[in-house]
Amino acid sequence: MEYQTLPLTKTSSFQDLLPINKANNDLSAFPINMLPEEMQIEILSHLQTDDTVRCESVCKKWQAGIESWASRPPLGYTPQPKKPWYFMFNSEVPYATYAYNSDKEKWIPFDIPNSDETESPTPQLETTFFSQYTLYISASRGLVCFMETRTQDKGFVFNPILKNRIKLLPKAPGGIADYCAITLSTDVGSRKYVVAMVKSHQVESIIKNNLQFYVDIHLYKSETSSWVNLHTEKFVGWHGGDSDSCVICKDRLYVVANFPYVAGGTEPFHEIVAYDLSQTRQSQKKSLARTKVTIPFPCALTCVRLQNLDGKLIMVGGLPKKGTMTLDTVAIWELCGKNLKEITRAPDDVISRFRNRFDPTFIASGCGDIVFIQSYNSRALISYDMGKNVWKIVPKTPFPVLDDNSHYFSGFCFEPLLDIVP
Amino acid sequence: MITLISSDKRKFHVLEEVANQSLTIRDVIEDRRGRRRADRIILVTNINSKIPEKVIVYWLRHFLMPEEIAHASMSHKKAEKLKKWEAKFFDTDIDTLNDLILAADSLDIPSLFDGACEKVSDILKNRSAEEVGEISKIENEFTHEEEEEEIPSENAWVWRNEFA
Repeated sequence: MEYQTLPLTKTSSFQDLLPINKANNDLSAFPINMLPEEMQIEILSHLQTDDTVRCESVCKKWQAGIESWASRPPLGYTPQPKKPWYFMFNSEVPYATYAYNSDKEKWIPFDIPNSDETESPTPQLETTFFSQYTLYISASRGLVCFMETRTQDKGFVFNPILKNRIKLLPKAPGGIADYCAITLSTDVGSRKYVVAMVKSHQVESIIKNNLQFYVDIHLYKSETSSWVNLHTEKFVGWHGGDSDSCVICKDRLYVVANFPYVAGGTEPFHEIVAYDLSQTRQSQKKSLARTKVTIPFPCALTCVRLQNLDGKLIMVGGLPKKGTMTLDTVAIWELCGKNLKEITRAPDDVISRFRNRFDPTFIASGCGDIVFIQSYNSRALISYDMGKNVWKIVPKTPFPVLDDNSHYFSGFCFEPLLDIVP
Repeated sequence: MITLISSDKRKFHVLEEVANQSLTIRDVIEDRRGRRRADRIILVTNINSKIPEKVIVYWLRHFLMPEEIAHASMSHKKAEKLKKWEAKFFDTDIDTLNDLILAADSLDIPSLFDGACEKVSDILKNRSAEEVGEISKIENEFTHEEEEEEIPSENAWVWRNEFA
């Protein structure tokens, strides 16, 4: 019998170890049919989402296989991370909505239909979901959560790719607050999600310039389909819950606290307050206050956005020019222990897109390794890749508008997943 | 040292630590621990000798650079090098790729399985449904009407991809 022993020393070159392929390496045809069906479907999960969706129309077997991901993943099926997409919408006629596919680096017309017909205003031509409602938006992995800003109680969770949407019922508690923020946290493995809502009410008082706020934290769990009021606290001197400024990361809720009356100074007028949500599993209401940790800000910032990027807490902030509120540049920090560590600042050529605007506010939204930063009143979109340490200007959205300045734009980043439904 | 025997009766001697990358082999070895030397022979009867050769090459490369280390502390340059090596490794003919997927599945080597699937999925990238059907030798059993109605309206955005 022939024996073969392969070299096991570190010095051996792996190039030599590669078997020489004399056979035809042309892979223009691959009879995937030869493989067992589960493996065919597994291969399709390695594609980017738009390619997978196109494969749905190849045969019924594949269509059924792909569609089944959303409801019940086959054993051994591992969800593949997808490159994030960015969804952008405007607020003025002509309304339009687009999605940016960061894998193929192009914009496609992409709509999120309004399935909530019973409550929608009279259907009009040329409207979108986003022209009818103003929304608090939070995206996490393949799911997105909307909360109506007017009533602060009507919420939806949906997968933008599969288009199926559910209403968060019962309605969110807490009434209409002075400040409100929501955040969605999705666990792709267990397909469970949590929506946290932070509401701040000013304490009624006869004293002028009363600086006391009640801050309520409400939590919605998909497991129990109900809202729980986790915590109420009286803050003196500051409030929490500006929109887009809270996030759940590794079972902790981070809320940006604002000191409202010192804006314009050089001292930091924000800080991050963190609560440990894992402590509240057994409904021990009191313990949330005990887990409170305060994280100071490194400097004064004009605009603060928190993001959870694969378990890392990322903060995007606008650095103002000294002594003013004018945006100088945008920087990104990562939370390491109890300190915020600056990772990067947008270089001049990238940020110049933002700087010539009157309003320095922006939104930031990220997924995987990529953070997108968009200016509210222009369609300028920039991205930062944390893995590659690269800033990029995203090609302009093909909105049918001529004058950017009269429009209000917004958007969010999501992972185009076919295997999760609310 | 353990011995793998392929379907065409060829023997392959591999260090246990190297072969442990197959979860199936690891479990078999674990089950037989403490027994005679003869028990360290594993028959891999469902694959021919060409595949163990390739699998072992893959193991060796990954043994010297385990994935956990690869992700945590590997320099960008080294990561690129491994990527290049893998690209070359998977640049092979259809039959081998096919057998690799089957072998990776039966021997339970997740990274090899994912790598091979990724390679096959590359072939299907940026193609129309007709092209994919042709490549994968799958007959389209959708009737013309079904195709016209159902799919495009459900996922209209996919078909408008030509938008620049």
